[in-house]
Amino acid sequence: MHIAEGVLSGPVLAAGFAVTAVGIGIGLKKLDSEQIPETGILAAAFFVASLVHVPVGPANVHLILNGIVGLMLGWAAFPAIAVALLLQAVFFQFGGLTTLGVNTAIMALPAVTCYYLFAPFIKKKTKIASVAAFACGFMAVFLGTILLGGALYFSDENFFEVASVAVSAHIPIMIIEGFITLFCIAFIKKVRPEMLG
Amino acid sequence: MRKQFIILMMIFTGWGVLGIAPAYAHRVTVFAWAEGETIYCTAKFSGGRAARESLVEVYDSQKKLLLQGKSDNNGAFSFPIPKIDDLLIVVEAGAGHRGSWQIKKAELEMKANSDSNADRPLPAALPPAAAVGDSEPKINPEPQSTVSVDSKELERVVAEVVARTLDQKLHPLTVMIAESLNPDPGFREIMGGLGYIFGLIGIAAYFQSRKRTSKSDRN
Repeated sequence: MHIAEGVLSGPVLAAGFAVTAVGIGIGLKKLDSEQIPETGILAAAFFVASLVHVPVGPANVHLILNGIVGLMLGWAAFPAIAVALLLQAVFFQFGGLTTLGVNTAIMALPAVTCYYLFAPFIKKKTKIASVAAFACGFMAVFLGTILLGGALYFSDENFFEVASVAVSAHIPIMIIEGFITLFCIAFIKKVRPEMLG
Repeated sequence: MRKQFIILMMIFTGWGVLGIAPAYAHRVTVFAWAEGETIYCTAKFSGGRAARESLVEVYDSQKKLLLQGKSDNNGAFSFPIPKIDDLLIVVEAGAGHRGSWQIKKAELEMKANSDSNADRPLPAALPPAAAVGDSEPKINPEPQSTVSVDSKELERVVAEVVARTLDQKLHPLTVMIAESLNPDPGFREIMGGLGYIFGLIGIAAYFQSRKRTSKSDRN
């Protein structure tokens, strides 16, 4: 999911930074003091999640956790993911500084989208909430790969094929993330239902 | 306060820190070196898995594409030195993965010197090296015998042989270095990153608490 330096064209990089800047702005504005610890913890989880690799096929397959981050944080997913990606770029050389905007947009936009799509269902009965949580984890990764494909496509048309390969390579991760999100939500619903309010 | 949730996320974090399985991803590490007239190059993902069937492109210092090809199943690729210049070897492993390695001009110049020497015919004196093992060397006191090798020629020949032997001897070592380049982040990097995040929480909490106290002062 991390696009390296030097792959994308200038306009795509600029668009990524623009989207990310707006997202961070809204996220920080909506972030209240109660949410700060939660945002930080989720940023930390996101930061290390990409170190958890799932051995499927030859492609780039690791946990992303953008679904659960979006579900818990809403717009605050933008600053959380941006910080985590910045640190990944600096410490792990995953992605890069010039692609930080694009990479943040690729992972945080689906997070926010899934927040709006699924958060209302999470408060409902356990069955509905479980389905919504799974769908949230699944869709966040799926939308992320679509955006990844789009970013690569607009930079160089040859990348389109590669991008569709990336989508199929992420299918296992979509399912895994679906279950992780499901278990997290089920757990929080049981012990801290007010967190989802 | 939200203790359970924090514990849950801690579990994830711990999973990330400790349970790191062999990997497939993220970063492409490229290592290339010149040996004789060939440049060898290996590319792998973090975790040590080879970047197989990846597009390899070689650029000169003017960013002009000199040649391209595909890595084999071991992520290896080799090609004859195309030009004495700073060469940039870029490996594109798909889906936005890309890594590069630069070979400095100086390294290739060194190689080129020994190579151009190799092109010159060996001095007449040397082939008769066989003459050393000749059964009757004493009856062969011709003037061009080994004795007549001037010191310059001798130096050149020795340098060349040494260079070739060194290449051979160093080959396994170079391969070992290429293999031991581990792009995976270590414990220190992971902890460093987490430290930053928790520091940021602290800073945010500090400003929030100041806001709150200044508000309560006013009230």
